[in-house]
Amino acid sequence: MVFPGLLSAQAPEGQLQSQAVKLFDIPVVLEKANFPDSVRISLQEDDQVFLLRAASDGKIVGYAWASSALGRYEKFDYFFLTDKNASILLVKVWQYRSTHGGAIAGKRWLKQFIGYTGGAIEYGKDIQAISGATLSGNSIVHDIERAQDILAVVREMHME
Amino acid sequence: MKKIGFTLLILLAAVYSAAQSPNEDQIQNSSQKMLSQPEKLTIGGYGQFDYNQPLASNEYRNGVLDIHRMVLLFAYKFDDRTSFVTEIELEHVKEVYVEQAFVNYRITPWLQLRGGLMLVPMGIINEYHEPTTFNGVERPNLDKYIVPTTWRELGLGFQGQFLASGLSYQLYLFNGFLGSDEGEARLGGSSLFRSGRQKGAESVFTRPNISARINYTGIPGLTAGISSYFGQSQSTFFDGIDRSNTAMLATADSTLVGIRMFGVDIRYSRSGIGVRSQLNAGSITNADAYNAYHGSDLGSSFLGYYAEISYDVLHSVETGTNQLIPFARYEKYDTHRSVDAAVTKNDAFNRTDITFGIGWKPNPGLIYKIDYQLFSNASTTPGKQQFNAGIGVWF
Repeated sequence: MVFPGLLSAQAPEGQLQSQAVKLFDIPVVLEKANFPDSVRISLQEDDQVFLLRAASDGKIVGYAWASSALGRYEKFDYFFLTDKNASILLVKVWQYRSTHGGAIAGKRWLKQFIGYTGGAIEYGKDIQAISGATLSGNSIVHDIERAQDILAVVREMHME
Repeated sequence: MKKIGFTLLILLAAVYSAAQSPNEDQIQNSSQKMLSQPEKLTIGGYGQFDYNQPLASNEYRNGVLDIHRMVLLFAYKFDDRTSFVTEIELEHVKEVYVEQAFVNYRITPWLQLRGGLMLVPMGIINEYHEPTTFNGVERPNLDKYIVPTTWRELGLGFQGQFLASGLSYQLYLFNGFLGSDEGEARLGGSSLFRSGRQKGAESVFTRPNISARINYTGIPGLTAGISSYFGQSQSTFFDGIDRSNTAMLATADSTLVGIRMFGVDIRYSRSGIGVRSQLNAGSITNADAYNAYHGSDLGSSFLGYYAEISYDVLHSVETGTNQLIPFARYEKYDTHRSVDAAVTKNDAFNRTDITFGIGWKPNPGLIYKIDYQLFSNASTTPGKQQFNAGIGVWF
């Protein structure tokens, strides 16, 4: 059993794997995505994008994105999984370091992103604001917005 | 002359903000881009610039234009578990303070060790006082006189978060208020503990005080918390007294007071509607001996609360990040709720403030505010009115 909190910064693959299996109800394999150079430039250091392929036939069933963004004083790590149309199924903030702004890690608050497929999205308007989490809230909303832009390109590349 | 100066200031600010083409990503990336080691150092800050104009129908009153606060924040990440955060503040342009300076060591997310100059977790404003996060040009007077914000002392303790459930806690031992300084009282009837704040500056330490807070954010849009604080004020009188000198010790004891304070606060926002409410109450023991020794008028209990409602009228309107927020706040605070036998209850300390105003936020880091305040109290002195205007920035 992993002692909670001692996860390394690089660790989301294990969590992504188990969450994917839970969501899709079939064995799923993670595959690191390739990008054209046009997208590579806008990627940030902590960004990780994965294709989710069904173990049985290798067909893409969805996508996964993991990255970090800035909270009040420190970065937080989050990921989300989508179906094959990039509709978000689950968002999880799996490591939040600052004392303030941790409200964005709440399961119920993150449910607001379910079904989001990309496009302009505002913290406080499309996503309900929480007092005390303005910086982190804005941060995660913008980062997910950016992520969907990148995922749109990845999806294009893998149209089957 | 002052009206021209004020107009110029607003114009300057408007030109400056227009030139900044609000880039949505600016909040996250500007501090990182500035530095060679973007992963380790974060820089941020906030500024609060105020114009306060007391209003009186029968006489002229000077207004005050003030760069009330300019604060710089530095956060440095030594490694994945250890970080250091400091805030340096300039008040009224020339008073320099360190507002925070603490090391945080993460044992687990729910058990983190923290020590240094820290904000005491009491009330909304004490921990969240960037001008873009509250309504009204000035901070609520409940927080100013009762909390008393910005309340920060040297301390050591723990904080932790249970992320999925939305619960977090803080538990610290803090240095206390300086109640008695070379025979002079630092605590009093009107401003309570405010002048006793030591702010980490060569603080006198006689006894640690305990501060605790539990915060809940499990329901989307809601942030609620309960805080408590127990301890004793500090006193310079004890310095050098022989431990066996019971007479002197008895006198020294009358320079101390015991303090018990509780706070409850709630913030809720949904569909552009914002609601805020806070209550602070507490009691002071040994106030009678303290007042007798110092000739002061410290009360024996205090109570204050406020309720505020606001609404972002642009919430459903497609304006990008613009928010236009009218608000109204009702505050009542009494620092002489009860007094010991020798002190006369001063009705002027039983205060009621009503504030209503509006704020315009072109983006989350910039706000223009104006408001109108009515101050009254339970004594026969007539109330006062004040107009305020201000700019707040947060980056």
